[in-house]
Amino acid sequence: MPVQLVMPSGVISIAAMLINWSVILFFVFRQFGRLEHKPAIWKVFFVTIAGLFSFSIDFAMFGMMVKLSLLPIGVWIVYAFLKNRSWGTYRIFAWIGFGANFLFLVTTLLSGFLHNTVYPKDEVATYVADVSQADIVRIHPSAAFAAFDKEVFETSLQHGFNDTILGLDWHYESKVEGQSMYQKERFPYALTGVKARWGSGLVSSLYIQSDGKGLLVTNNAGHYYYRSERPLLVWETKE
Amino acid sequence: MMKKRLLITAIIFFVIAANYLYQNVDGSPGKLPSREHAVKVINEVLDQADVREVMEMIQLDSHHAFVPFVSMSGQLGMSYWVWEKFKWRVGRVDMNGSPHIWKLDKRDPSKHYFVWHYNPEGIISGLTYYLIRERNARSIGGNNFYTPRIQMESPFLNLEEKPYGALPFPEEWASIVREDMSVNGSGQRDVSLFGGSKVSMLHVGLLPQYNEKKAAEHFSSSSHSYTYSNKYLDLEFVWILNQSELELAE
Repeated sequence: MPVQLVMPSGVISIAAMLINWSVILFFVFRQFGRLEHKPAIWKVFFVTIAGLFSFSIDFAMFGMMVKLSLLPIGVWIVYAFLKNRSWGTYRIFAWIGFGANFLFLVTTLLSGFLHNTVYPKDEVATYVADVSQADIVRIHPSAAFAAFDKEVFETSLQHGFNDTILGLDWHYESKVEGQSMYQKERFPYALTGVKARWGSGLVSSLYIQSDGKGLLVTNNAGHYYYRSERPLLVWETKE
Repeated sequence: MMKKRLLITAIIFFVIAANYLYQNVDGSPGKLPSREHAVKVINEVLDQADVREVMEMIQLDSHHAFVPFVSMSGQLGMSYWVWEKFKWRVGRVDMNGSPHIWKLDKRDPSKHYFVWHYNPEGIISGLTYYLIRERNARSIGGNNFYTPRIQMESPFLNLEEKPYGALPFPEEWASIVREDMSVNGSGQRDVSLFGGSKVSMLHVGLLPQYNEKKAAEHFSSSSHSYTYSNKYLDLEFVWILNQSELELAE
């Protein structure tokens, strides 16, 4: 199965950003230190950032969109402005700026892999870490009145397995007259107030199946379906 | 030289501070104006309003009030009032009372209110509001997606008893809208860098209960209506739904 990554969010993306800028600053200051005649530092930063501009193409790698820089437009613009003046001094900084694009590319890929390792997208624990503020909301008239009990939910969640989302089949069953779920919603309960694992930066919508034995997680990166052996919700039994 | 710089800086700071205060200080809200005063103000801003009677001064929160009224010719109108700069001011007057959503705070769904003054020729005896998101399923490149249908209803509102009203989103609705906002943004189209677009598919509609005696008559919701507006208010029109659009298996 091909590796599917998502753009890292949360702490990993923050860490990646810090690393990126630390490396850039390191190189900038190192080169700055080697200059005999030092220009104003803000000019140096300006040129470095200008060097970032490039003609690039976006393409998908491992499910993430990444930017590959091809032409150093920023470097050329700086050269055009400075060629008869101080190009020699600033040249290295413009190239550092351009080189930063490749640093970003590598960091993005690495942090994508890291995010996927630390927060596996195919494990329910990634999405459901904190249910202290959780509750259910009936989102469809076909939902029977049910209650959310933290203990029942957490216990039932322990025993289950990942399952395939048969989206097109489910849609058909609800839509077509005579089918088993006609005019009923398969996931008629929204599970609100759930927090994903700390630092993951994941924000998803969660839904519970009508029989209480399924959890559907949806977010912009992908959808995930978990089946539990025991119901996740509690229904009042009427004798 | 130093003193001059200091003076200029002080003047600039003062101008910025004064501007900020002017823009943002409204004073603590006072009591709503009287009905007579409301009639006067509405007639002043919109000639065609020709107010016969103000139905009620409905305060929605500390800075917002909804005032439905009836004109001499029997037209049902709505006016929207906002407390700003030490006074209650009318921000908008509509000679058309079709249901709208007034978002007092775009990002807080518990402050989204249904407002209406609606009794189209006695054809509609009541209505129910619905919060809807269509069911959706996709299969892309080996990945499957399924989005459950949302269909939530408000309590039934009897227009024959009372043709006007202001109703906040029920708590359950607000909860769902809030979650949707945190995943999809507050209603504007956000295109993320990665090709997927974050768009909220939640919308609101209303299902009328037609008066049986008049159900046969064709109901047209159009009416030439006059409007006065001097403020940007976050208002959204509520569409009329067809029974067939809803899943109401009994």
